[in-house]
Amino acid sequence: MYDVKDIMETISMIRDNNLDIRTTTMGISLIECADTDIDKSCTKVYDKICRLAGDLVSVGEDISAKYGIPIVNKRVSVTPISMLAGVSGGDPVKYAKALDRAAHTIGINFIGGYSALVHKGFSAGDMELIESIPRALAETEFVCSSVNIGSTRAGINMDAVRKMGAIIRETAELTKDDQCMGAAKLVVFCNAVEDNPFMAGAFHGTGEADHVLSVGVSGPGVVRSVLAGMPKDAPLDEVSEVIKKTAFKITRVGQLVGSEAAERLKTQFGIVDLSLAPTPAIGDSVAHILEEIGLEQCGAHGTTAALAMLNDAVKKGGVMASSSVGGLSGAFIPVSEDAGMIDAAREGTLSIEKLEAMTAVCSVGLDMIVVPGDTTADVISAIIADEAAIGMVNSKTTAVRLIPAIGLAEGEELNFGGLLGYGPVMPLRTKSPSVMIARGGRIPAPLQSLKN
Amino acid sequence: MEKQENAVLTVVGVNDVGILAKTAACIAEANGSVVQVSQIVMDKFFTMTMLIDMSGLKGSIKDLEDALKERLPGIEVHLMHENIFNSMHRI
Repeated sequence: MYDVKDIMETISMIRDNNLDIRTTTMGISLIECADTDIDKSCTKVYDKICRLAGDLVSVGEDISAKYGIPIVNKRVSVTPISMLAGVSGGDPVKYAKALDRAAHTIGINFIGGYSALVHKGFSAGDMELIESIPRALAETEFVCSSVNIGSTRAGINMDAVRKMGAIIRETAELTKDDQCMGAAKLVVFCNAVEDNPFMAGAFHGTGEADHVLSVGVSGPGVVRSVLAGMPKDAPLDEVSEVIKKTAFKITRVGQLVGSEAAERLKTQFGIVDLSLAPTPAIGDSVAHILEEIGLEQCGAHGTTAALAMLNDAVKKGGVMASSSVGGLSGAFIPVSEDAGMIDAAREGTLSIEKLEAMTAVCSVGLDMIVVPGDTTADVISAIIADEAAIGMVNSKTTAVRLIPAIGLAEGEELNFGGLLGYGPVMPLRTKSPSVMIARGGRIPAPLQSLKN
Repeated sequence: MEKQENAVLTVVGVNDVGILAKTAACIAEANGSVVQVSQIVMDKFFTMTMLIDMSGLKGSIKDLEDALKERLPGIEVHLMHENIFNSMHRI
């Protein structure tokens, strides 16, 4: 029989502290759908997604009812669409619409993979897809897009960086009547991973099986609540130990749900992504964990160190709990999706510079940051370049998801609603990086020895 | 034979006559079978954990939990699949 204490701990994690399965994401390869006729190709894409993921939502709901644990999102990621666009030619937005139709039909809330991988250069379909992103995101509801512009092995494609600054701006402009929502569904990566189940950056890499099911667990609320029960003078190694144990338990639940969902959907189990993913709900914040560790507010000096420890402890606990850990696996710091970060940004404690430092030690990058509407494309490109450099040099994934708040200035706020949250416009440096960005070309891959 | 699937029930609340009886009756009505019970009253608080075999259960776990909650107003009732506890607390 189980220990009453263990039983009550589990119940309280789920009922009181927002422990949930953040997403079950089915990755689907679309390689076989490629056709030189774009309309045929789109039909095949729609059919394959509906055939394989048709039961994704109902299976998720069944498992959720069986175990009493919420599965918040059901999603699909697909092969980077630029590859299909390269074969078929034509307007890539047709693919976005096919993906969106499939998402509507099977009842999921996001579909990722309107993507291109251009870290070393552009091949057929890449540029066409990138140029179509603003329209694709404005004309669809559920499609998410990502572009990988750099990697540790290839360096940074600065032509792509320059392009993406303009694309992010244009995406925000085209959706300015809808809280600039398009930009919230567009991520620019360095070292993108092929098995990430979290949106907006999910895509199904070419090294993956035909179809897999991955899960993303969450649980910042659980970690915070466990830390709240510790004495304030407990040394940090003990704090780290407690986080590790909690991450272990959270991950085990992810593994349980993921493997059962994969079995029921007759697909193979992919990975558990251990990320601590916050939501705007009170009690589900990564910033509040950092504050529980002992900072007056997230963004204070000490934040980077606390986050580094948190991120590492989460991974250590999770790796022990599942042999299929992958994806991004770390603590997410999306500003608009985290109640504590929103407060810290509003009060000015959390600045873009501090966030940039934080991204050097955690997953994933400058995420869901609302920037002034008059930010130029060059400044956005320069932010992407800075962030990609951190990822490239540290051999880690970094990303940029900025939302230029068209028509708004510093101090005003955007509200996306739901999990994407809301956030104040954060100030940026305004001195121009234009000459550097205009140079284009490539930042060569960094040296992997003489590490200092 | 179907694989036995168990659920863990916890009932916590101010002690009163018949909590265990009402719980057992409700489980029997749903065709659940009690495998193990651990129950104690401490400081006027009734605390019980029960392992229930659900292989013959009519309806879902959620249905049984709702029925128990209705039968035991004012008392905290949680019913969850055993696997959750197995995966979290057993290596």
